[in-house]
Amino acid sequence: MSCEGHRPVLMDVALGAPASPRLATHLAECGSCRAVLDEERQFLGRLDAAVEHSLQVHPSVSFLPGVRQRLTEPPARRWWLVVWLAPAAIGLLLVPRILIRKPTDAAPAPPRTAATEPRPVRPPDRVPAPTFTRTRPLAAVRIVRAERASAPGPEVLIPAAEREALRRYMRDLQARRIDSTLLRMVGVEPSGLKRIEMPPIDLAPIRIAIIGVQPLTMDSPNLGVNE
Amino acid sequence: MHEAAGASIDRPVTRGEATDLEVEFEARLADSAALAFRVAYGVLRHREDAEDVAQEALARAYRKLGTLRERSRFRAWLVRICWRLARDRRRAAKRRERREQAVFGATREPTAEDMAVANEFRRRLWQAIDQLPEKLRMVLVLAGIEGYDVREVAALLGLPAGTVKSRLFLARRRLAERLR
Repeated sequence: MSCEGHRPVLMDVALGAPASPRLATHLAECGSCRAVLDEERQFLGRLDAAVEHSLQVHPSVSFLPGVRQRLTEPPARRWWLVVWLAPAAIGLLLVPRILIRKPTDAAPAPPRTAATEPRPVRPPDRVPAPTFTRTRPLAAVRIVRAERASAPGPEVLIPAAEREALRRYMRDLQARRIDSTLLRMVGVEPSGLKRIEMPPIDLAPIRIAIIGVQPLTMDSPNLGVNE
Repeated sequence: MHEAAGASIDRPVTRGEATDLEVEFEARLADSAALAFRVAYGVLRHREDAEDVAQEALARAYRKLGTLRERSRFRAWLVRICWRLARDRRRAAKRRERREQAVFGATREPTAEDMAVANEFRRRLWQAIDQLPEKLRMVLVLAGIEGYDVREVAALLGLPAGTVKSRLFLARRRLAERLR
């Protein structure tokens, strides 16, 4: 192999890598390559010396007193921790409020009395139990399920005597055969339940009972219907 | 090796223990203060900043000395604390410099320190060192401090000697290639 073939590995040899037997033989014969290897070694030596020289610095006389002074001081507060923790804590407080939004237009709940206490009704089997609780009572007149029956969520039981009448009433309402001004929609719950506030209605031959305001809670499957 | 070697120092330290710690720390301070300063200087290359960082590293080491289970590794532990603090300081300084450049549109005036290191070869040398990956740079700087050999650097970093040797080889070769 020619000198040019060996030159690229001379730096590695200068850095301490073992020379191959072929290179060793060549170096023994070639003064030019030996000179290059020496140059590489000298260059690396200058580099090492420059690094070492740059780091041959000594601390000032006030260095050690400065350390002892620091030991008497309280450790620096981690202000950045406060900077990050405060928004995180606020965010954690807000998340439940965002997930469980309260109705913005709900009327204040009237005091609960024995007369308005909802009657416990056993839910049918197909009705899944509510998966969340709601401590704040809903001021609702009647809750009509507006979703598919298979959808999760609470369902209000409607007495059998009224169920057919209400269904026909809603069908007629949607077909605009009934004056919708009689009925005032006061909001749509995030769960898909429509809260409907109704005045006393007497539409022969359908009769919808007068419905009073009563608080309902979502934490029980026994969502009653005021008769 | 790590700053959090051992766990908590939260239990109250008795008077006797505190005195023992102080005595031990004073001995270690005399032994390792220059090392901490040079490690910081190797990263920052600014005397005042390096002193500040080294002092902080030593103060932290003292406060957590009780948690260090292997006292024989104090210097390695201190080097690691000091390196991290210096690196953080340098990054913060770079961010600040970029902000200032963005605001004022000009670089800062060279300080006396800058002029002292204005030697062209040294400037290029440290430029090249700064461009090395941190693992290589750390080995190179530690090897440059008081001429530590491979075994000493390995002990300081808690690495096998072979790893240090190969990193040092790579670091020097890259430096040579850039500076030739």
